[in-house]
Amino acid sequence: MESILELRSLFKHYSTHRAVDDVSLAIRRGEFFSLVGPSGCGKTTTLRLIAGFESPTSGEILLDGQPLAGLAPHQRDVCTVFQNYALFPHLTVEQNVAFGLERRGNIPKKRIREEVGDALALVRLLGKESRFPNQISGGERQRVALARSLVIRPKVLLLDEPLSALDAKLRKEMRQELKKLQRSVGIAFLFITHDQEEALSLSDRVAVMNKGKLEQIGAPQELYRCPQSRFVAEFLGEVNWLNGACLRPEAVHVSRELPATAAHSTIGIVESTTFLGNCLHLEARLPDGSYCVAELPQHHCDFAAGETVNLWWQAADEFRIPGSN
Amino acid sequence: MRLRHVFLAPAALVTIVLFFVPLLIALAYSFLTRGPYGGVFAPWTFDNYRRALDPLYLAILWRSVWLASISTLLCLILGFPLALYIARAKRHKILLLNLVMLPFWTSFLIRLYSWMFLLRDTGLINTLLEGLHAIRAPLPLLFNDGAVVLGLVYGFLPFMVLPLYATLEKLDPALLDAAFDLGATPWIALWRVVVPLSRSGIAAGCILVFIPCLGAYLTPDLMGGGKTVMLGNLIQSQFTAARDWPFGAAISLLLMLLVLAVSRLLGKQTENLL
Repeated sequence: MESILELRSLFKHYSTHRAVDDVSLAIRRGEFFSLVGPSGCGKTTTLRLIAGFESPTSGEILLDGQPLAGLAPHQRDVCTVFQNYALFPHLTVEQNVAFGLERRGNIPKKRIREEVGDALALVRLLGKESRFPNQISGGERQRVALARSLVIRPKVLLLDEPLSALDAKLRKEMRQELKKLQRSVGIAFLFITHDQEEALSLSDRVAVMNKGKLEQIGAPQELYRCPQSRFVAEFLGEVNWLNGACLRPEAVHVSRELPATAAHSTIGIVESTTFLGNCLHLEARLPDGSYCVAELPQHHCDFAAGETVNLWWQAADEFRIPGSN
Repeated sequence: MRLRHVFLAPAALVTIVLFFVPLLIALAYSFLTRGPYGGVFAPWTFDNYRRALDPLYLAILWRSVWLASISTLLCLILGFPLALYIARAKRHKILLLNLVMLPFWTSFLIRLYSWMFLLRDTGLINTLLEGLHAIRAPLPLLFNDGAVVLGLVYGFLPFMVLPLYATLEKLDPALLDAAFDLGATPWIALWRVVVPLSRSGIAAGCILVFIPCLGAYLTPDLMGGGKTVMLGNLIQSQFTAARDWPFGAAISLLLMLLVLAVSRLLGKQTENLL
């Protein structure tokens, strides 16, 4: 598939610190692509390099096949949704959304009004046109920011932790909405987040970044099931390390009797159980002194601390990380 | 009495004794009749205010407003880019701000004399230009309106820069990024985002410059050479040479009313944004 945005061995150095260290990736047309990593891993710097707020030390950025080097932010056909939205406080919702279209210079006023109306309808904000940003809720501000960027139809929409300023419940709702929105507009999204759950649930593909370097790129399931490094494995979820094999907690079954179908097993002593609402977190100590964590359906609530249990799993659920034992 | 009232008392006492009481005295004087050697006498009269509307004095008023406006505008034009530069500077902000305030370390009077030393016919600039044979006769740099405006702008520029800096420093840099990102050129971003969002600072700076300019006395006296009469000089001469205290008091009060009106007008701008 043809790529809309391509980074070719991108470097960004700040005196002695390598913020972005040899990053190459290609985002496909219409793709929801996430760049995920802990804070300070260089993901926001990468985004700022693409938007043109910073210039790379070396490397190339191609947008739709055209190199972006030397173009100022206002000349680049990408648009950013900022972490705190950066809405213009002195302009109404409608004026905020119209800002980008007005900069195009040759669009008649009537057409701008129509397009702004369409964009506000898309993010379900009709009726709030004449409000100022401080008169609407956090979720609504988020949607104004999306409308303001989408209305100018950028080739790629860059989103810098756009959900991090929202509370947990709203964040989950906006996640669904964001995904639907991306499907309906068909613009490629480059989504920056430190939240692995957000990245896995939203994206077509995810790139995991650490200390300025790309660790792995792939579909969410592939990254989760076959991480190529210990960092990726541990960043995307909890991992049990059992004799060189790795296991996700939900792949570990616990029972008093060992079933005949169990491919691999070990015994363990229940250390603690934690009720998490939709599941039960069980921590067991293994004979070699290491710990194994299992995530069990909530009806398995009857294990007591100190009890000896069988822990077992299927061979297919195991994964191995290259270069580690 | 509460403790906070006790804390308030010294300042309140000073304000009442040294400001409100004299103000009331001035108000009373402005409705009285002049004495032959200064002082005031009965009867009560409105004559002083009537006289203030004489075209001669209206011309001085107009001249003061005009020179103060020009000076304020020039301070804004010079001060805005400076304040923006300091606010957006990555390093040495405090040093740059201290440089703006450095002139305050010397008396304003001494600084004005230095300007006169530079500008007069036998001053540094004219001597230098004549030495270079760039001019035949000295340029008329001092004792005119231009010199007065120069003195006012020089004297009050820091009062424009400081409030502007305070607002611009608070401006979220992400807003500028957003403007560029949406296709605004740096010039458009300045006009559509930075200027509207610093309106309160602009208003505060204009109040702080315009008001002292309007009542300026020292600068027009020295740099204007007495030819350029502004309201401050008129008031001063009424209390000294002309020995017409009631008229001086009337003009003082009219100047105060004008200042109140202007600061209310500009003050509205600051409220809108807070």
